[in-house]
Amino acid sequence: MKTVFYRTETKKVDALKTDGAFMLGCAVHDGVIEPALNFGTGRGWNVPQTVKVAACVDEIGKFMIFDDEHGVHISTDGVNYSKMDTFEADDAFFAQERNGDEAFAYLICADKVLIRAADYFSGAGKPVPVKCGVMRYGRLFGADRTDELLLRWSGEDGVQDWKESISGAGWAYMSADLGKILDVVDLNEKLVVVREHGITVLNALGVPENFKFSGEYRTPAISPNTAKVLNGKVIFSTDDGFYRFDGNKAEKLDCPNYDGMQNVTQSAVAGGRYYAALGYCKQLEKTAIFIYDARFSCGYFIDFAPQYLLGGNGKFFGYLNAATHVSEKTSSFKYVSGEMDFGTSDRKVLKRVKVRGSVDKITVICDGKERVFLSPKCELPTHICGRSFKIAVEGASKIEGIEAYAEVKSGN
Amino acid sequence: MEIDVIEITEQELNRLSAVQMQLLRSAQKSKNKLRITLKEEFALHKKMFYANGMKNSSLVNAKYTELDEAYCRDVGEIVEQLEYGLNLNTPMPDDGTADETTGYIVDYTLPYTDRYRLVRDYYLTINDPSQRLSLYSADATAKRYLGSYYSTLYDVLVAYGS
Repeated sequence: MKTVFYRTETKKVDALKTDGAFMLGCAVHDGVIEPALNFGTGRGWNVPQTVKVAACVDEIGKFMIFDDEHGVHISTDGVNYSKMDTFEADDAFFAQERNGDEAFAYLICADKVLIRAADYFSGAGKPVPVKCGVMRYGRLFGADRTDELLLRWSGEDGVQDWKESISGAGWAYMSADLGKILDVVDLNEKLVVVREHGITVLNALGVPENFKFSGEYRTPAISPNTAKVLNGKVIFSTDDGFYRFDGNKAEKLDCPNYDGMQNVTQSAVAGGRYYAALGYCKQLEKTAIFIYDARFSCGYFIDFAPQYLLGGNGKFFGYLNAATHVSEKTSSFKYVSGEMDFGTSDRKVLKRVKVRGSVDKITVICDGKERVFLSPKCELPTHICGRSFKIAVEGASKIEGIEAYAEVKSGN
Repeated sequence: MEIDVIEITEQELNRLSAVQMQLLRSAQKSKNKLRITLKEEFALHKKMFYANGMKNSSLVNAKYTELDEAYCRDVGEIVEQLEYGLNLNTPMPDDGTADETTGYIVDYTLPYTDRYRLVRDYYLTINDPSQRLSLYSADATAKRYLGSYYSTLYDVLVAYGS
């Protein structure tokens, strides 16, 4: 029987430029893999067991938590808390404002407001007809509690002033096209009304009779509680991935190799650089956090699922089981390349993998089977035969490139 | 001209003197002007709200309320001024309870024919012809006020008396 020896040639693939790669705790940009964020061990004292809503109130330099048992807790570092008050409400949200030299945080529910200034709490018992919103020039703008298309604004006296008049409180109906109001965020000189299927922009400068809806932008369906402002843009999660709105246009976030999350329920921003979203990760098959790094326009996952995610003071805080997990630089990461077939569906031999940096483990996945190499050399001979390959590396320090070399039949 | 600046019956209207009528018409004109301005301003604001996407907002009614309140305030001032003026120019009753300096409007800006009519109308309200004539003869104000018409009216009152 004759044995046929085909002519072969060596082909190289840059494993950092493959489609469908998965990054866990590392950011891939400009041809390098860098260790990125992770969440540290849980710590902190008097952290509530379950967080209903939390906020980093920049204006008064404090973190505040409203828990499931109507407790209001305050912290200066986001880690350790003290219980300050009780607030009998099923549903509430935080708002904040600066009024001259004084700054205030408000915890607002349907029939009362808890007001926190730098050094004291006080309460007010007037009904507030909005269920979420933002303060702007002394007025609270928000979504009506019962009518999903109704936007309300308070009078100039703030969260307790709902007397309607031409210069006082008022309301406006949105068109039904973009669906119900999910949230209202302050973006530079505009108010962005985040809705089920897009964005409506309200110019709200001066007196109410000068208010103007200045644009509507349709997007895929938006997940509630995911719109956050990062570097002068609103980022939010949709059925089609993450989108960004800069005041003039809404566009999909350029995030290479992002394969989408499902059921994104929360988001947070930190450090003027990161947007984090908590949702179901298909690759990990569990709830996890996706981090978008605006500096490098790249993203990665973190295998951690807090009960509540908060951003502030340049960090993320994940609250889980009465402990605070703070974001920090990761001590280990994992990068899994996309499928590499070297341009042919024929069988080929993966000859070697070259890694420019130090790694703890390289795993070669060939046609669904894995082979693990521990403490590998930078140039790892592999000699694995198959049709397609993935390379996974785990490490703790920067990698400046991963190349895979295979012998394929000539002419392919 | 339709009069709605104040509530006044046809009869009361007919009993008004020339000066009072003038005051009334002037007030009505002012009110009409305010009403037109109210409509125009509201129409303008309504267009603005529509252009700003605020068609279905509280601003439309709130603005109308604001404009309407200003309109009512201005009309109130006009009415108050009118009522004051009408009162000032009401001919005095001759039942002895009023100021007796004059029982008719003395307004030297009026033409003589109007003055003549005012004084004539006043004296014709006095039923007793002789009392009427004697009062007129003693009325030094009427002599000055009517000028050469004084004697003409005297003749008329005599004719009514006989």
